[in-house]
Amino acid sequence: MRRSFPSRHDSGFEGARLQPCQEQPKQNRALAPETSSVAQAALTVEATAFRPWNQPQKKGRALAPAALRYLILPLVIVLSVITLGAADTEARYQDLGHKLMCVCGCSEILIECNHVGCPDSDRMLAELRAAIDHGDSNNVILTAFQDKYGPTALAAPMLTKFNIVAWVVPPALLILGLFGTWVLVKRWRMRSAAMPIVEVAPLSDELREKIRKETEV
Amino acid sequence: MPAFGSFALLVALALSGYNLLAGAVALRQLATGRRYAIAPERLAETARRAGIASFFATACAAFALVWAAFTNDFSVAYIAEHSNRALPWAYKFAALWSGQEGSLLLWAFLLSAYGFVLRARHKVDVKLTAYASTILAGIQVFFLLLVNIAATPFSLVTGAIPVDGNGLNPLLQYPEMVIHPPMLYLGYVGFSVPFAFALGALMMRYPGEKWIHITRRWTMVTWLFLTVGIFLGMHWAYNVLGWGGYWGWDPVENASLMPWLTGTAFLHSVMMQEKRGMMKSWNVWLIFSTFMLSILGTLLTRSGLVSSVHAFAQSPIGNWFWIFLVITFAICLFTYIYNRDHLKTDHKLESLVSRESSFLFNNLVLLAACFTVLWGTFFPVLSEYVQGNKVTVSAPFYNRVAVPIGVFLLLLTGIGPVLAWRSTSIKSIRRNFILPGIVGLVVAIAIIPLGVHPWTIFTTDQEGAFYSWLTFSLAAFVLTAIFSEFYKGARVIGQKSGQNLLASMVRLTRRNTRRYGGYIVHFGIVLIFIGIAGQAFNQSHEQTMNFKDSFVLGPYRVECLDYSQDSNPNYDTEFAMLNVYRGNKLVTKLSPELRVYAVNGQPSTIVANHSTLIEDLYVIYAGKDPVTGQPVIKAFLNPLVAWIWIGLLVTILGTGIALVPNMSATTAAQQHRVTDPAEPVAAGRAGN
Repeated sequence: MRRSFPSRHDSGFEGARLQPCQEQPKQNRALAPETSSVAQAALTVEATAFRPWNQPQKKGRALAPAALRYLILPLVIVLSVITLGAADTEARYQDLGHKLMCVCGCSEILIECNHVGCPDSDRMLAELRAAIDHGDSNNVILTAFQDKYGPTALAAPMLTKFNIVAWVVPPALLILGLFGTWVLVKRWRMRSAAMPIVEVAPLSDELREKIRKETEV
Repeated sequence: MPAFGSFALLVALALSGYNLLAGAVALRQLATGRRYAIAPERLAETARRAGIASFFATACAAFALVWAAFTNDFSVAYIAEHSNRALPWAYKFAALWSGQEGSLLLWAFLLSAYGFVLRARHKVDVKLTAYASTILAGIQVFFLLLVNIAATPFSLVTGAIPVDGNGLNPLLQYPEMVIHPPMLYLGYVGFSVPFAFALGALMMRYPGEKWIHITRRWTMVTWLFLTVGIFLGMHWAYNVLGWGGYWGWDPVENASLMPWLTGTAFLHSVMMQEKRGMMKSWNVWLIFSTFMLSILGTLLTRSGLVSSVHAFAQSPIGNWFWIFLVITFAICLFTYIYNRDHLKTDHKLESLVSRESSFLFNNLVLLAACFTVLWGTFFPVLSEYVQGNKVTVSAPFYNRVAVPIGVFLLLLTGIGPVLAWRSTSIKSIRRNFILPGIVGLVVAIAIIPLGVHPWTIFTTDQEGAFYSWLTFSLAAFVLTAIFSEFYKGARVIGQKSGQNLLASMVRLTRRNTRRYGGYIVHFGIVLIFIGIAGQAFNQSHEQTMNFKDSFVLGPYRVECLDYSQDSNPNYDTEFAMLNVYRGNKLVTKLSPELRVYAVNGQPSTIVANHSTLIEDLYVIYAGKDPVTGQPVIKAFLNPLVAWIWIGLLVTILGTGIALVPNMSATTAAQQHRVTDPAEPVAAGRAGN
């Protein structure tokens, strides 16, 4: 059965036919719709998961050892840098937009979905922007999208349960393979007969030429 | 014509079937030494001729389908579905591979064409070619069964014959689509030949490594076709699909990448067998895997097993491919187990720091990359089986898992070629690596002020800049290693001959085309890596534009000059006319379009791209604002993309050079012809 949605990929030379999506007016992405249920859900989770950084300091802090203060300062600087990076809304929008899929069935990354009259991408992008503006963390946003649209809404599986296998197996196999190759080469070398010690004689031009040829690909 | 085409396909099936059966019987007789009424040599010869004839029969069928497209014979369902009267002739020709049935016919035709060349050149080794021809006939039978029974391209329409056809998908109406699928198919199908030779050599316990010499050019040409096919697909996707990228990690794209990776591994590791008699079992399984991955790719396309925009869900044809794949694997496994003692290695590795071990690691990394792609492609199926729900495995997964593997491969590209066979001394390593190492380090530092900040991997969850930084540094390392190899060799020749450096380099390359052609291929691959690394710095901007509205993207200012719409019999179009300034200087005018084709109402984006060696300004007409009616323009600034296409051209050049015989060998052959005119053919064959 052939697919029936237009997409940038729907172009196989097998001739899958492109049909326009259900005509819907293309929403202006600058106009954010009302706060979505994703963002609402995100807000609830976020409120319980994070504490603000600017809580009043405890009285005992002044008595903290000097060494601890010296440790805290670099930590604060590092965290500030990290937080500054995370606070870049447009960068986060681009990043998260690349971590989500359009759910209309076009199999495209959400922010790259460009087929005409897509019924889902504009709405999802607006939800994403609203959630970012709301201050939700990446994890909360991704989880909320997964809960709302199903696991296929994420462009890659999250590190949960069985999905961890997806991330772990290829690098684990590569490391195992590298280790195995190293062991194999070592065993082969051990099995090789020891080279007899020969007197070092100056190489003739013929021999040099022969070696050169032998070592060429 | 449909009747002629159907008949030709039946004849082709019968001839291929005869080739398979008679060839198998003849080879069995030769192996056991039994003699029957017909001598096995004669039987094998009839099989070979039947195989040759099958090519003509399949060619007739392909011709019949193309003829039906050219003559607008809409009584053929396939033509009614994939062509129409207004379609330009070049795209009517492309109708041959525009649908499932036609593309399977193309596969059968290309396979029989490869078989034709193989069978015509049988004197290179009569017995081995007989084995390869018979195996190839087996594959032909499978594809001809498909186009005769399961996916018949000459089925007639039921009911009244339509006045006009549905037309070709507008996305396919692009010049590259006329050559991209045949190139890709030439690559896929071409791996059947080295596969057939490898399996045949193992079945007959072929002594020595001559089969590798025979198949070397086949494999390289096939690899080149697949490479060109993949990159043409990327170029088409970039210029037609309008999403600003060239590779989407779609399962069908992955399907073309997997045999390319194992084929590349085979091209490298086979050198170890040629030079040192090592890795025989490994090589045999590499080429078996490459062929089976080609079939798996087609299975993915046809069966709807994984969610792909190219896939045909619920297509029963997938079962055929499963059965064929299982049978192929069983035959390969049985033959290997039965004859594995024949594949004992002649030598062992003597040093961890040697050309051999670099090939070993190179193979390992290429296979790891292949496995990663395979794993990512099939994980949704596995997930559904285990968890009960499908997950998506797309670009973020591959960027995080496959990119590090690719970067490691780039490192090996620089290290491997400058290591000596058997063992490399510390002194030699120092001599060969100190300059590339310094250059790599200098580049690593120099690009930081240019905005390549590797530490962003620690400050954000974006690892792109880090891998780009690593790629640029390693690219500098590899390029220096390659150029120093050329320089050292050319300097010696220059000193002896008095030629300048450039002439010496040309002469050096001609003296050992395979080695230096290989270096040029590596050079091309490095350029491709550089082009891909630029992706980490892509920028984009989307804006609704009125007259004289403008926006700035990177060094460019894009100004809307006008927007309008137009119609012609083929399509309606909306377009914008944009002036692009760099500073105050007008550098180009761009006109992105959105077309809607009349025949089927399909939309198609016409990308406007201003490409330079530094970056591409890539603009699409994303739609129309429903309120104001003004165009929504989306622009991408994609750095270094042009280097991907330049890298491909260099890779083609390098492969072409590697295919040419060495100058010394050619000269020797000429001298041989002069002194012994009685044996000119043998000299030519030896060059194979």
